[in-house]
Amino acid sequence: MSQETLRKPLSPQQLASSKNRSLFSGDTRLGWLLVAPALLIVLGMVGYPFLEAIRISFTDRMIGRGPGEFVGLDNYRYIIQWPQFTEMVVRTVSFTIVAVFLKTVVGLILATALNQDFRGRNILRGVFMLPWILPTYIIVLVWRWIFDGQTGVLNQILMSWGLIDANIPFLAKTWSAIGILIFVLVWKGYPFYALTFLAGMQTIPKDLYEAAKVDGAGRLARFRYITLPGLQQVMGVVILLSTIWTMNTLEIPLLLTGGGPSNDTEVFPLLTYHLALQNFRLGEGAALPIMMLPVIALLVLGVASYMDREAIE
Amino acid sequence: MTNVFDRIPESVFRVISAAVIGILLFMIIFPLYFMLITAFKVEREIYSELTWIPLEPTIQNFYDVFYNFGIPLYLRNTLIVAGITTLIVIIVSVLASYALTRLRFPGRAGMARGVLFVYLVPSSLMLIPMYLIIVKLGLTNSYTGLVIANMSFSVPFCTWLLMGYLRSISAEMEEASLIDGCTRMLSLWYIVIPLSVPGIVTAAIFTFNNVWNEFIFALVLAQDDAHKMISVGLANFYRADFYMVGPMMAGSIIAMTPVVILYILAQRYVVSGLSAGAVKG
Amino acid sequence: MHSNIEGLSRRNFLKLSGSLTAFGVLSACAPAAAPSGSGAPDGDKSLTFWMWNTFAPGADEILQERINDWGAENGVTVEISRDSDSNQQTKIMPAIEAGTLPDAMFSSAVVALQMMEARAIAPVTDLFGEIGEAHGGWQPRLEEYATRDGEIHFLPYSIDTPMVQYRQDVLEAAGIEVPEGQWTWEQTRDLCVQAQEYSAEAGDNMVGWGFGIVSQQHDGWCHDLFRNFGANLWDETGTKIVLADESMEAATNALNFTKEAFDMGLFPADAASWDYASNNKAYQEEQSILVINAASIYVWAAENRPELAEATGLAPKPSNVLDTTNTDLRYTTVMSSEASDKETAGDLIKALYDENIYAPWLESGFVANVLQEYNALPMWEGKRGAFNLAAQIGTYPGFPAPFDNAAMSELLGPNDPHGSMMVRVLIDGWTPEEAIAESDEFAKRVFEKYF
Repeated sequence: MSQETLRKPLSPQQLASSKNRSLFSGDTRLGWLLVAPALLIVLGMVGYPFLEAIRISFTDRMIGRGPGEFVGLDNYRYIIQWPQFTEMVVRTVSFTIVAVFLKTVVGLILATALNQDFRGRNILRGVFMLPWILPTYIIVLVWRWIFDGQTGVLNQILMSWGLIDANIPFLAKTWSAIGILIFVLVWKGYPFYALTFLAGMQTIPKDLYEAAKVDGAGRLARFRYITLPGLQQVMGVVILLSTIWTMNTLEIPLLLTGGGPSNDTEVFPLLTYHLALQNFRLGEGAALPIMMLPVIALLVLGVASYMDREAIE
Repeated sequence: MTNVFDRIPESVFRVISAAVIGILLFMIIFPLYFMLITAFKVEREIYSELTWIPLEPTIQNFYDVFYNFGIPLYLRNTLIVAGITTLIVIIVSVLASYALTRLRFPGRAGMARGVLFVYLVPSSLMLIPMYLIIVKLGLTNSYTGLVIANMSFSVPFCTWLLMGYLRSISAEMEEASLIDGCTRMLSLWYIVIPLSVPGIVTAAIFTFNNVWNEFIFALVLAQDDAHKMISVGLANFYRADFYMVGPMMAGSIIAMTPVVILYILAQRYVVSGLSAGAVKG
Repeated sequence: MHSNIEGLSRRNFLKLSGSLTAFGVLSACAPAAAPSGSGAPDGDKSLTFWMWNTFAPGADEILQERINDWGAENGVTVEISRDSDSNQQTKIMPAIEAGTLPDAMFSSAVVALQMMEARAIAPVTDLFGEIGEAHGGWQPRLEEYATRDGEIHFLPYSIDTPMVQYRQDVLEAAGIEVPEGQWTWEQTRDLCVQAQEYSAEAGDNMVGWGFGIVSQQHDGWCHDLFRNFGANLWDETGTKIVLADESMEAATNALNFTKEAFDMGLFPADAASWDYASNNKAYQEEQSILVINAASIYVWAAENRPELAEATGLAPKPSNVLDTTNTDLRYTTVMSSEASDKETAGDLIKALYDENIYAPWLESGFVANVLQEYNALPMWEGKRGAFNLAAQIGTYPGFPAPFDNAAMSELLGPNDPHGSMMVRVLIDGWTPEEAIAESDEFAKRVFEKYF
């Protein structure tokens, strides 16, 4: 099998060539059969609740009081008039973009490094996955203690080295709080990137690198023309999904800053939690995430088209 | 043309790489070390001046965690739920991704493109409706209910991931086997799956980990001790206005050990799967 | 190729067998570790009960044990579920929606009010009477507070009595004379400034006040301050917001006062990032000279650092124009309106107030008792007695209305106007008028949903 065919999947036309056409009968039945379990799960556990939630968002439903009455766009109006709503949207989007970007960079660096052969590689891979494996709840608390403004580890270290004479309230100042939030988001999330990139890198044949080296390609060229294209599919998926997940992550902002010094880190999932889940109001609780859907969709489309553009090159 | 990356001699590059890795490693080890020593400290030392090695080391926290807080029980529950969920998700995703990439049937394109869109729906939106479904099926406080809820989070991603892997693998070998008289399913088992081992392992780890860390649904769906999950169990160390830091750290260390071990083991199979020459064909 | 297949099956096999082994090992440990479980062998009656982890793990254990004992003695299987106190709402909300609330449970007063609104809990007026009679009567004004529209839906279980807890030793060393009884807010400020200066000179760098400046109120100091300055959010009916209309001046005074204190450096540098546990931590780590908190801090100190407990002085919360100190119900007991066996559930609830369950729980905890019979417990001798006294003279939530309601519960949540106004003025640099206007509008929008 030649190198080219390994890299390019067969097109549907090639597959459907006369030699193979007879093999496609019965495909429909088999196809639907194989897809059925996944479809069932998605429609049942995601599709249906989603539709339900949309319906609820147009009512004034509260916990335990039955279906509630139709109130049209009242919930949506209430949320838009929330004083910091636009700020929150801007904030959420910008934090997400920065965090995802950093995760990608760190993920790539680490995956490249771990893709090489050296002793103890497996152990190191295991260690680098730890942030992802640890329970979010605990790790956020630990970072909180490290950055604590009164007796945090970081403050104590800086003090003992004589770098500062008063404790720095890291989490109570706007920009450092934001920075720490993004830092923890990246810390917790990059292993996912590194793991998938690594797996993707391992499907790139080593011979390609050898051939390129022989042809005189330097490190950067090898990375740009072999590694990155080989990772394209994987990167696209990971970035897309992680964008959505980062936007939706609740535990980290909740436990780390609780909305930060004076709302500076109040992001969308936190607002949903504060606004609705603590107040028994299902109507509002459904409306806010639905309102964020266009924002998420736009962001996703933005990333997707960027990845497509890269693909065409 | 040369650029900065290429002009650096190999040895220097290696040193820089090592340094970068070292820094990243430090960022990971640092909080973990802190966690570790705190787990061995007594309460009063935790709240005093920071010490890098416990002055009064104790294993009381671990003891408490084991015998007084039911952590092993929750670990068992979580292992079961995570294991079953992962198994089911992998099977479902492999089947679905194979169908969506190798077979042609009406509706395929739409489904293939739509897989990701599922994730646009925030989980906060789904909490109550999903809970109602589970309740109506009578599956609260059961492994089944937990598995069902967790499955739905992972199936779309795993399907998509495997679709990506399958697309990047040439279908020639399968076609050859089909011509030789293999059925689709056998070809799936003997050719496609071994080639996608990295993808499958990644998907499995992803799913397992998600179940392990999932909190809100675990809290809401399983309250009795026979089914409570570890994420909920650990949250119990926070009491109204005070963190029981020592036991919390001890509990987390215990909680993360199974997953870490699993991951290190799984690593080896990713490597062996590939080095057996699957890619070279 | 073959090794791949083996690799795959081996991996799966390994994972499965790994989990099974782990499962086996853990199940062996599990029975020894499982804290819950019922006592009655074949209970014809069974109940579900929810309780929450409080700051006193010992108390929770005892409670659970005694409940199981009661179950065994009375032929009832009680299935107990315990969770973190902070997860109350997340756990209860879906349960109400699905009709799966436990037969009986503890709940905070705030959540009880919301459950009452949602018609999820049953009236227990008779139980209230019976329990009161059996134990020398309820504490003053509890009946008044608990009765809504002529019925009682939640039974008080414990009273939270935040008090001023301060470093008596530091003040003494600084030569500061401490006023008797209740301090005024001005005194609180001045004394702490002096103590802070002294501490700075001594090299300890303790901070005078241990208060957080966040929207969601954790130690309630904002609310008390506003109230004692006479700045009420709502009127005596509890249905109308009067912040901007009637309380403008008083609120401005309160905000200016605090701004002055802030500029004097009385607040911790990281006050803007505090959470529920921060003031505890601050006092425990000897960073703050004065905090306002429930007895949890004192009790922790008594157990883990007796010298600190010795050095801690107690005082009622400060006064200004008004001298009300507030108190509220940390826990109430409620019964689900869908409980199938209300009588047995009622029996369990009654048993919770009996001496063999209530007294030990109180003693290992830090809250005040609701029934007068327990005033005579030995735990109330000495310093701790102050907490019990504060419970009896405290004002219940809802002031100036007779009691609180669900609208107030929602208003005083994550975006509590008291906290928000403080944040605006102290941290964001707004003028009091602007902050008051914003909070007034917000409060009105919330109340509109109810009235």
